[in-house]
Amino acid sequence: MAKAAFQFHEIPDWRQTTFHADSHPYDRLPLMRILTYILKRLVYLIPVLIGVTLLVFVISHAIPGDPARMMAGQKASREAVENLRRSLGLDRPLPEQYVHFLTGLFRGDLGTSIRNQRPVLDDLKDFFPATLELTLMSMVLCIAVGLPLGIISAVRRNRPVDHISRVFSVFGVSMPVFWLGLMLLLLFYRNLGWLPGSGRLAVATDPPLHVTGLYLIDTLLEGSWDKFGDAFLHMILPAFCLSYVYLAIITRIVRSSMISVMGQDYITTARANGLAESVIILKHSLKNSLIPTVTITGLSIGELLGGAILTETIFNWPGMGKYVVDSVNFLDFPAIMGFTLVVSFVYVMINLLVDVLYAFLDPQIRY
Amino acid sequence: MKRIRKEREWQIRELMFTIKLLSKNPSAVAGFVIIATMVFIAVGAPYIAPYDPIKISLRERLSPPSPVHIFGTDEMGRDILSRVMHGARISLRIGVLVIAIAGSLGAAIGAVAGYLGKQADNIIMRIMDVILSFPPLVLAMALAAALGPNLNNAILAVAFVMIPKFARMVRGEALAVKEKQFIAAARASGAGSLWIIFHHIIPNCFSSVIILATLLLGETILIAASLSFIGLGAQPPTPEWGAMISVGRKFLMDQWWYPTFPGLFILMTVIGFNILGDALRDIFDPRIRR
Amino acid sequence: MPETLLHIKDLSVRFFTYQGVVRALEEVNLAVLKGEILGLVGETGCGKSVLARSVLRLIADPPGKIWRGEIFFKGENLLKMSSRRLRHIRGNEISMIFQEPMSSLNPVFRVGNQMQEVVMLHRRVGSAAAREICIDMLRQVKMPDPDAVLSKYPHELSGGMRQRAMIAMELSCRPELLIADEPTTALDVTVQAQVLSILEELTRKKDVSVLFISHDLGVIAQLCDRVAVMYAGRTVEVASVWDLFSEPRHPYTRGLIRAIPRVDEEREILAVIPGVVPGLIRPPKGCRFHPRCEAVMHPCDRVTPRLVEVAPGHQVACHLYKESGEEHDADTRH
Repeated sequence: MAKAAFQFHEIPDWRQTTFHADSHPYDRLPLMRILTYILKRLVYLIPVLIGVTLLVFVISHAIPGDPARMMAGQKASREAVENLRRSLGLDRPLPEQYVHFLTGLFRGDLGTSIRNQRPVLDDLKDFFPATLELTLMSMVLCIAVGLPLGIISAVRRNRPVDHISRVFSVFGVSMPVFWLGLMLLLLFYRNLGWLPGSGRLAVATDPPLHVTGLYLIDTLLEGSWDKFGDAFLHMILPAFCLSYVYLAIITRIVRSSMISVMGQDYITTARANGLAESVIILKHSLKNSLIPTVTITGLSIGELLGGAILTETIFNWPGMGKYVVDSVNFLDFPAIMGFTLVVSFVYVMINLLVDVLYAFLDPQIRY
Repeated sequence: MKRIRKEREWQIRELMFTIKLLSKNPSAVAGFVIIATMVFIAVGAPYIAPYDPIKISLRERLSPPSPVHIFGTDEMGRDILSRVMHGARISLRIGVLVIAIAGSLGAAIGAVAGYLGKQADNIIMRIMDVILSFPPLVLAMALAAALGPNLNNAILAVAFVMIPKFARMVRGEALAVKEKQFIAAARASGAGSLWIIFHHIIPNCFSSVIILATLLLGETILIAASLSFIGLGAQPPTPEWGAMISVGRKFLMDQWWYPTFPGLFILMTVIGFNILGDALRDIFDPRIRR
Repeated sequence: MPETLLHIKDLSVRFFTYQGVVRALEEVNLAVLKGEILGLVGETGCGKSVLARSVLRLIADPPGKIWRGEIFFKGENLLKMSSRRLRHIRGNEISMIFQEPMSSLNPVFRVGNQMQEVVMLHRRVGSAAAREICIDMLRQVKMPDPDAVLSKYPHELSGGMRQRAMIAMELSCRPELLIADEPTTALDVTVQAQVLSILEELTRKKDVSVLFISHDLGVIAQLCDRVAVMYAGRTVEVASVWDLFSEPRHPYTRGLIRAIPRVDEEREILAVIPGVVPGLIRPPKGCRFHPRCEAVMHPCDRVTPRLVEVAPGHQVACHLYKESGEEHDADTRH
């Protein structure tokens, strides 16, 4: 039984050659690699962004009926409508109108609202902080509750906590947001009287000095504690209502990705090495689960912008969502299209951000 | 001929197997029961609803739930239970129409994109990406507003929003199926691309399409109700659930029953579809089908 | 007489699944002596991995449960000790390396991070000292440019390098026992040789006992001092490597060895063991090998044979043998 004597020598492995520190100049600066990755993603996005403007243009100009009349309003005279048509360039061929539309966008011109004759952009700028505050608060709630709930659900799989959170998830995904808002109002405003029912501050209260437009911050900066409390109370129901659906989604994603991660071999290795269970969950498993979680969270922000429409209407929250619903009732098309354009741009940008974050979290993505 | 018959036999056996697995899964059964109830209500509404949904009776306006009117009455004295039941008709009809349109168009687009590959695939998918760059409700709202506030336009708007979801999924499956041997065999025996797409690729995606359709049915009903709530879909006095909530909102404080019951039905219906869809997805998971 | 480091006594492990209770291990007895390399060989599904994982209590519960038995390590029962004591032993006094180097390291952390974490935990040193220890260990497994490897992610290393990094990591806390669960099965044959040679060199040098699991008899023959053969969840033969290959006693072992094609023999048909490995939900009664055994006889289908010593250091679980080597008369069936 002679032991075979193998010569010990390295078989040249092409993969080995990449890790010598000075093989590729880019390796010295991982920043370069990340920047090129971002650039690549941006280049992919540009046609999509153009497509978005094209789609909005098509929708707004393919409206059956006369756009000029709609802009002028039902009561304008025929002459006024013709003047408007000419001044808006609506008698020009479509491609030319599209170019005009695009250049207008670059200048920040989103059209003029029919309702109040102001540039749509200015309107949106006014209402944006309220929506931002609501969306941010909802996001915080989603992550602060969804992440731990998902982790606990995964770790205590099939125990009572898990079952409850799964039921909660199904309800969340199926919930009509506007109905939830009404039910919350019924319970907390009408029946229990604990929380206010509309607006950002109590009626006839002056808003704080405008620094950021986010009342929770501005009131603190101003030092008005009671206004802060008031703003906070007004925020609770709308934020919860808005976040409910995405909370459920995030919990589900965290749970399922944690379960899948914790079944992996490298977790067994970590356990076999004697690492404490908390370290295994919070360090080794969590970072791997974050990848799908971050993706969904990012996408949710975009959807929150959509859901804000309904929540703001129910709670009379003076944000972009309520603005667009009022515009719909008025058939104020420039406002509607302006809102749609802005929201989708933000959505696309957030997706880019999510992609970049992906690269930071998953080292296998960076190329 | 014989080959087609054998194929049908195999398909039927697969179907029986699926149904057997489904019946053992508690959430599948629960979802199915909920949906079946809703369908029953929807179909039977004209016959089993206690009152005429549009009959006005101002004497009884805004009366609370009682043995006479189980869900109470609205501001015109119409029985809310009957209206809710007719609302099921409308919502389910919207859901089925939207999914039928979006599913067939989306699947066709996806199958073509996946099969053709390279440039065509690239272009088609970029277009789908553009549509997916909008939050669904926002795009549906813009479309519905532009087309005009009525129910049929709302259906078209929501269908448009759903198309890329089907397209994306079918395209992924088509890419996978494309590589399989029998496609090469079919092409070798002279089959044209269109025939291959419709006779081979699409049937293979069938189960995934069904799952997606079930899940998206729930989302469709939600979006449609939201559109009506904003004022862009069904218009009052149509007893559509979202529209009823929109009107009922004014009466929330003193006549709680008005917006509560329609919303409850929306919730139940969507839960039903979501539970069933989830269960279907679990069952079709290849790890579980031995 | 070398002392016993690890003593597995009457270990039974069961898995509770939808299809039924899988009796993965049934009354397994095994001992690893100090300073030796013990091979554990058997077909896929015979329970070798389950046995390996049971030692460090890595069986997923649900669906698995360590049903009965004891595992003594330096006098302590691993199955009954507190989790805190167990965590002290894992990675520190008993280490384990796994089959799939591709998936055994966490893909989102650098190799150095993972190695240092273990060293800092068990050897209670700061991160700089831990880093030195890791670099030294990587050098010992003949890893080129250890400094750079520490800042690499697992996917940037080849399979062989990953496995060597695993070996370095698991030996860094100076364990007394290393459990190697098919460490080279997923590697190319050439890389396999390198890794095995490193493993052998290091464990001999550091006086680490090894429980080496494999289904490859050639590797076992090359590396191990003693061998245990498993079949369908039970140990059927234990002997020194020389005795096992020159005088295999159990019919299963004989079948296995006969099935190895040899360069110096002329044979027309590949010798196989007839039948298939039994499912472990309803294993055969009595000796689990009896349906496939060429020497099957009367009590085989009813009474389970126990491991008995038939020669010094040579144990068999088979009704053919009584204590100290006598062979029964076998009425063979065919």
